[in-house]
Amino acid sequence: MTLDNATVKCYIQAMKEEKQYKIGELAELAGVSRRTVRFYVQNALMSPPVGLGRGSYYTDEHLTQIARLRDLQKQGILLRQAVHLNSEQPEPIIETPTREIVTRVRITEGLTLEFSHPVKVPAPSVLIEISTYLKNQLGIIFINPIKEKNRVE
Amino acid sequence: MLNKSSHLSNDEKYFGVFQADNATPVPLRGVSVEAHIDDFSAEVEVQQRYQNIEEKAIEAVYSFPLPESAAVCGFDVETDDKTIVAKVDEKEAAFEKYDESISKGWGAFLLDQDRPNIFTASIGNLLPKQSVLVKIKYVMELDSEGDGIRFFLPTTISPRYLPTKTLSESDPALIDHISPPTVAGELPYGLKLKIHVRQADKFQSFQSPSHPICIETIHNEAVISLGTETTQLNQDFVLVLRKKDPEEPSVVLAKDVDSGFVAMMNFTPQIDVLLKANRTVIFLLDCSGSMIGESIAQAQNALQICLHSLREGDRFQVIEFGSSYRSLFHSAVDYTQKNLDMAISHTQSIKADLGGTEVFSPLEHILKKESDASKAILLITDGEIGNEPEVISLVNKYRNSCHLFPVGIGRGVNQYFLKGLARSTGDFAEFIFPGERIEPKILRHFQRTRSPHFESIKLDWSPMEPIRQTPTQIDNLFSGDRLTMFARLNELIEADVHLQAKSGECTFDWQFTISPDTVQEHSAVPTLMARRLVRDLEENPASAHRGSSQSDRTDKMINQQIIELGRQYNLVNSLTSFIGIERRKAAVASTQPELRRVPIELTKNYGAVEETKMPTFIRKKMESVYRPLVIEDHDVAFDAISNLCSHTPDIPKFSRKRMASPTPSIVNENHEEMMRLIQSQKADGHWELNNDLLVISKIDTATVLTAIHEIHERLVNAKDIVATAIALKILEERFEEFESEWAFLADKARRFLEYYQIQMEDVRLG
Repeated sequence: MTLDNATVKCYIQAMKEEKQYKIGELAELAGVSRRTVRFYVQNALMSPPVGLGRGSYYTDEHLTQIARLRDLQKQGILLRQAVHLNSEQPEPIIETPTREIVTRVRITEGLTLEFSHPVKVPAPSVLIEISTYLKNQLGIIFINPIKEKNRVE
Repeated sequence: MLNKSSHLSNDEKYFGVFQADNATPVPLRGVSVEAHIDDFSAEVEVQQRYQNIEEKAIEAVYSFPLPESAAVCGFDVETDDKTIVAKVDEKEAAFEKYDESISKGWGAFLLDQDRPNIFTASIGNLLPKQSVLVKIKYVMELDSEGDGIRFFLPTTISPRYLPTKTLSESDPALIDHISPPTVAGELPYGLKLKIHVRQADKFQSFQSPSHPICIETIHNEAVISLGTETTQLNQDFVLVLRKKDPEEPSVVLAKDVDSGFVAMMNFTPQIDVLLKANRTVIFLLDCSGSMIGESIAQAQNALQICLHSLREGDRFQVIEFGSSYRSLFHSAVDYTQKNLDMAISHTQSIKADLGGTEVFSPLEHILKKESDASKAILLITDGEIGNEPEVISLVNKYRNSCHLFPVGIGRGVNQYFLKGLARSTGDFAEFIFPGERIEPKILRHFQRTRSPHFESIKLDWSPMEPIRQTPTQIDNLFSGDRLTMFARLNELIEADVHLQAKSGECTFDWQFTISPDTVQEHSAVPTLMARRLVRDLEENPASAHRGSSQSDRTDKMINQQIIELGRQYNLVNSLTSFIGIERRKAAVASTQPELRRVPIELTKNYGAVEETKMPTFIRKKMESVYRPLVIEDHDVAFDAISNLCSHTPDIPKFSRKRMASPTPSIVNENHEEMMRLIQSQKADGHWELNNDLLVISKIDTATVLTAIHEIHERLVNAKDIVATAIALKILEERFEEFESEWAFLADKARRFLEYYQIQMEDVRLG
């Protein structure tokens, strides 16, 4: 497709009107430090500046990105999650594995109750009642795969 | 930034705590530390070697710990052909220079303080195949500890708990610095350490509870190094230097940087008067996840000793905290046998299962609710939080209505937090490394809780007039705890300076002689003083202005003073950074160098996680990088250490198992026996007669029965009285070397006997 002159002129005009900020100006406008801007760029939380070296600059789009990141931070969303929200990556970022204290009570083979802290584990007599109830209600049938294979058709 | 490395197979993926993204090389190759210890202070140089083995320019960023009292006063960078000496500048201005230099294609080197005990070095625009050697210099005051001094070097940053409020409001770049990427396993850089101790003949021993060490003595200088060629940076290094003689008061005089003089005065008061009044003691115990394993076990032991050290007339409470907190009693209760039994029983069931480390709420609850002005809070924790300034500020508001005595437990304790808390109330913190004996430290704290209250403590400099003094106000004096004071003076004259303290009817006066002809030309004293002044301004700005001519205490003025002190004394602090620039003639402006965040090692035994295999992302690159000595066979390692060291009198004589064990412990059967005896004492100070006591005492049954019979003629509880006398006899005769640990309990026992008007001589035990 060939762009006509009028369209090209419009583009050039738009580019001229695009506000350009140095990192210090962007930081001041966004209410963050230069370090924070750099941190965002280095960790792919926002787009890098336009251009190279000393001539590089930031735009209103970067301001918008920073505002969004600040908003996410205030909501308590970790910045590693923010990358996921910003990008199209379907995979979630692995976070620090959370540690959880649980107590597991084996009702019967194949059936386990799990109590997370600080839920109190019921007394043994109560557990027996639960166990009996579940077994009756669920009518659990256990299939041994090996036996299945050996079953004569 | 951390991502799952999807290109690795399931077998290769490391299911540990963290992974670095895209398996990039770690640019840090090694860390080397050399220290010179001299009486009360140390001068230390940390060398970090960085190398870029990639084909593109990188920016290496490494966050690392230093002692919280470190006055960081030098940052030099050696490249292939030059040395860049960095200068101190205001923090944001320094960063601006750093950023601009990188965009020009120059080399840039930045050192920031993120916390008083966490620093970040940024090595910008490290060219392909380039190596640099970074040298960081600091000076620090050494802590006194009983009859000695303690040299402490943190090597890793334990994971910090960050409350939601802190996370949502703090600068994300700062959060990234204080919570760097962490790996559970060995990294391709290790630690070398050498410590020089001058006047070694003043010390009777050098011991390290944390690492095996080698000691050589050359011309009255002891040189201490690690027992292995390189060591992992995964736990604090602790060196305890025991002195032969008690410390004498001393004054060190030095020329200030521009003009005038600085005086550093050290002295350890011996105060024999003990406060007899009873106290309320609140035990605040950290039961967060970071305490799992050896830390919570040590905390339980510490708490049991504390409970037995209380006496009738005291009141106490036990509070556990994590993400929430819970109290054993509704409020502080009287110290009775019933309450003691309940507390001991509860202590035995304590677990580190309360989640995060929200220490602010329980502290606020205690400070607001427990109105008893004589209350003492014993906080037992590893201190791993990220909102230290907030909590320290809270305690500061209540500095006149409580005493706070932190006990730091673990291999990577946050000393800045715990010492900061203690300073807020004019008190002291104790630190227990796994394997160290808990009892002397806990009992030192108890001695502090019973110290007399001083209505006034002041330093009289007349006829001299100090321009500035730190501390500006001395809140407490504790027997056996060193007090260090600094003053800036315009002129020095021969004079006696007096420290005067008044407590009730008692007046104390200590004298220091100032001799101008002992002034040192080059000394660390001015830098140490500047570090103290900065800390005063950061932690307690209102107090820092007492005694100065400044009347306007706005934040802006305080910040300006902090920056000015940084510039004047070449110090990194919360508002200044070191910046060094390498101008490159052939520089080409290009895209930003790629960030290489240097991972750190997870603290050893953190959360009871044992060291597992090395992360595979690093193993892939190991062939081409510096490889620290890896000890695979611990038995072999022990022999290797013995061969390395020509003189190792103070390496603890552990079995080889200790070298392999992640939780070494010193087993002293004699001490264990004493602990069993101590723990059977009742709340009112008596012991009960039982078989164990008779066996330990080795007194024949007939003698005991006769003694009981004689007492029984006038007292019904003769058995308890005789048992108590037996226990006291055992302690005095068999466990004299541990007297400091049972002194409180013996005092309780004698009070019990006095109540029945019985002297030890009345109980005839042969």
